[in-house]
Amino acid sequence: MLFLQVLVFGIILGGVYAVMAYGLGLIYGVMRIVNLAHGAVLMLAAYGAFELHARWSLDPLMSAVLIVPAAYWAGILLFRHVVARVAAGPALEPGQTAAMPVMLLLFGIGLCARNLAYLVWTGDDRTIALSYGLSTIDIGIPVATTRVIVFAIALATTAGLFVVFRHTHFGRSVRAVARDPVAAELSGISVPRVSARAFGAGTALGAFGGVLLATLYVINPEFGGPFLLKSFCIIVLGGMESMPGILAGAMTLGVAETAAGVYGGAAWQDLVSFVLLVLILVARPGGLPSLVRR
Amino acid sequence: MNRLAAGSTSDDRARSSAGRRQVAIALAVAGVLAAMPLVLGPGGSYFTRLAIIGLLYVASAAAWDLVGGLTGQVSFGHAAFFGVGAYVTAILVRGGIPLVLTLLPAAVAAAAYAAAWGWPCLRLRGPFFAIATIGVGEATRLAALLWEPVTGGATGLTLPIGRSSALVPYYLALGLAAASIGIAVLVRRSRLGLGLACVREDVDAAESIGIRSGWIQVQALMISAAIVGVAGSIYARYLFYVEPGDVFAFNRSIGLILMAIIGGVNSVWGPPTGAVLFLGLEQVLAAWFPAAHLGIYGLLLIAMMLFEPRGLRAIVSRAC
Amino acid sequence: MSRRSHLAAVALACLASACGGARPDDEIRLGATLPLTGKEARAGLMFKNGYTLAVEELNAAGGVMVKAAGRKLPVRLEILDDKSDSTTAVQLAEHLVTVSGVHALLSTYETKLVLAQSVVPERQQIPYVTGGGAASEIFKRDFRWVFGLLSSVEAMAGTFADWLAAEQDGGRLPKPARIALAWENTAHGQDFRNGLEERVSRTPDRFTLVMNESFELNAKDFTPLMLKLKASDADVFLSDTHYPDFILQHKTYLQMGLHHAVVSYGPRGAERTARETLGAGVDHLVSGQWWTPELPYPESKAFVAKYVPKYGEIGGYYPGLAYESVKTMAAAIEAAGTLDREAIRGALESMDRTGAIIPGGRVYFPKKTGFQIDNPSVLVQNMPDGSLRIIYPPDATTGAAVVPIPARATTH
Repeated sequence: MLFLQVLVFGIILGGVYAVMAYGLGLIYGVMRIVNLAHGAVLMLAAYGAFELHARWSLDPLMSAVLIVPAAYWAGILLFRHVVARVAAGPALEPGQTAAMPVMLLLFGIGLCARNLAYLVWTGDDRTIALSYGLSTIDIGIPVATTRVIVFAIALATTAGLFVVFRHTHFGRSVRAVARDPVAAELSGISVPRVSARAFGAGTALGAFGGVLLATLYVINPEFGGPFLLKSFCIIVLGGMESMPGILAGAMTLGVAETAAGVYGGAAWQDLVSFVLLVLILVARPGGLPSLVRR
Repeated sequence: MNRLAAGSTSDDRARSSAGRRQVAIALAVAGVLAAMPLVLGPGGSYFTRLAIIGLLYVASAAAWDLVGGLTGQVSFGHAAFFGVGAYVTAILVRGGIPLVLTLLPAAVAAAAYAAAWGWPCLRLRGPFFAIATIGVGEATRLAALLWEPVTGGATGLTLPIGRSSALVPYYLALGLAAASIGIAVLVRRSRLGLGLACVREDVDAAESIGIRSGWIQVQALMISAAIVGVAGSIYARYLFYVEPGDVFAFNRSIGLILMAIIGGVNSVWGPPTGAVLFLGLEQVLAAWFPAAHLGIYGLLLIAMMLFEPRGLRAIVSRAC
Repeated sequence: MSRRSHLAAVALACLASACGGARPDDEIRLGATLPLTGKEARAGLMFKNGYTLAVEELNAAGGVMVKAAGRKLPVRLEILDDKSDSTTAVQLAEHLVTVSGVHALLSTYETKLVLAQSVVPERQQIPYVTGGGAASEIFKRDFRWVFGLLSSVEAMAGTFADWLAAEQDGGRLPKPARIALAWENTAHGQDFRNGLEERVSRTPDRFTLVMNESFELNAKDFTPLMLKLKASDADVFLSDTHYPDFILQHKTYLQMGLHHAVVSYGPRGAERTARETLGAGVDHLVSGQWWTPELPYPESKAFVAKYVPKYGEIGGYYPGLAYESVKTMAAAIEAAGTLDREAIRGALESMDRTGAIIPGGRVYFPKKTGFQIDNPSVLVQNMPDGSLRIIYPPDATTGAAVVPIPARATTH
């Protein structure tokens, strides 16, 4: 009985974790860029939802309609004018790729975003008080309504992304670029344009996640941090290139954490994601090109 | 690559005289630093405290660069070694052992820890190694928080303040900084250093000429860890207090990366220069822009990655 | 100022003070570092306001009487920003002593920083009064120069136990009572756990501990903890948390439909924002504070009446303790009659002052605790009409506690 509860709560928690990780996963899966600014995207989107709710009583799901496209365009601009430039520029050391400078650039952007948040909103904790914020849905055991909503959205997003990648021109271009940029260019795909759009999409997904997370958690400038690290764990668990994989990875983490908390103690919950992260990174069979290619 | 080619004798002379000049400058700086506290007297304790931190930065940045610059594996988790060293010293000093006798165990513990997680993780490349180090760094902090009987948990461990002079950590830090830079030079001149440079450029090619890339990378990590561990030990003595949120802080790891990047990775003098600049930047920011220090570090990183990822060293050599 | 000239200035100042450069003793110089930026900025600012208000009050009365000078001397306060960083707090404290030449130090906020910073007054041999650090660890180091105005968190747990015992004696709680404890993995949480464990083992006829779980800060899910709480079948739920964890824990608690006779989240629960977020869910929560503006003492009310118009709403114990720190230091200087550090220290050690605004109204520093005051904390209960009722200590109560918490209408 308890185990069943662990499973149910863990899977639903997985829905929360999945929306948190999609943006990071998309950008990594397509462009092999580790977006260390992902936490900042989550955080700024959460604050955006908070402001729209505080000023105009806009439900976060409604404010997503405004925030997500804004994030998409911001991501494209950021990629075109900053990230692409660094990616094409020199590496830290001659002979290496520009992957590290890009990673450090994004980290720097994350720092700036955090500082901005401190300046604008101070370090105080904020919450979005929703009318349905405390209500539950009874499926044998009471589950928080907000979490069920997020879970449903996670499923819908996974399905949606799956369709986009299989059946739209944009999705196919993105997969082509991910697999082989040169061949893609040769077959007429504009790699810079597709990359920018993919980065934009990743940022938009991240912002979407941030808005949803804002309905569940207290917001402050450090909002992004814990989510970033868990997101790494998830995309590594689930395989870096597949959206359904991310959902599966998220649910795995959710169940693992809940089980660790119930059977081991609440103290062990956080340790789970880090241990899993390192184990999976290390235990993947050595031959996988995605891991070994620099 | 010049190291491998046979240079003309005039090249050799020019290189060795440049080398001698560098050594002379280094000795002069060391001499000034050694004499400083004595000149300033007891009122100079503020300077001494600042300098201890600066010297530990120099030592740690140079050590970090052995892995991050020379080997090309950027570590986001070096604070783990700092903390291990700090805790080992704290535990031993609380047990009555004199500070100087705790330095070696601290170095050994840090190196052992490096070998333990380095062996599997150094097989990962570039961004993956970086992410793994984030995981290790955070897991270490959590482990210290949870292992209350040994580490004191969240409260941490206080050290008995005793009556030893504030100059003890100062001279220890000065010695460590000198040793760290010396080791950086020696490693680069050795077979190990050459092997690491090959691994950095192309692991598969290195393997194909017989370099055991896994093993030499672990060696580099162990040496780096040992130095940073001793830095942690000295810090424990300096602050008389060790707690997980401070010694294992993610920001501490980030600081090391910033120092090396600012000065220029993969060089003997780049990271130390970056460390000194970073210290200065910290003080300036603390004095005039305390509310903006995160943002300024961020902007610095952004600007450097956009315009000169290779750091001050490259900026200077472009200007000359 | 370039870094070189900044260093040169520092060096010159050091030389000056090293040569015993005369700094005028026609004023009293107090110094402190505080987290004025960063995550703890809110608390830091309230501390600063409290310090400033107290100093202004002293100077408005002409200053502090120093017999050796034959007159009242004005007080000058220097506050530096330590950004909530231990190393900075230590360095700047050193700066205040050796460069600014302060006569005594007031403290920064947050136990971790006070633990690190307290080494400076001890090595520099200068008096230090802290209203910002409560970990008993600070006072277990055989220090002579560090004096604590916050009773330990263990003592706070003891206060909870005392109050629960009183409720048992009044027939409102079962005896023995089953207590479920959750504590954040910080120095504060550890001390709370230690204090409660000690009381439970001392009076097993009154209390049994049916749950004892720690959790990390900023957790994203408290479902496992609440599942365990449910399974423990407790009468009393005590948790020691920071604000974000309190909100998430209590949200989960309410959503799971849990109920206990007494629920407390340590210092949390009385915040206005908590009621905005959780609505009626915060009714009857009990919180423990080192000081609250609701205290009925006339001196405390007078302080609040001066503070609020000038600085706005009070959210925590910070301004009160800051104010009392300054008053304590001033009283010590006056009792010593001189600005000599050892004399001030002696006055602090032997102090037993009434008319203070902290719970119990008395300032004293027992030697057996390492000079950490051991007055009771004040317990406050949220009332459904939004007001706060003081339910402990007995000399400060403003009404009866509501125990057990009435059953809630189920929400779906």
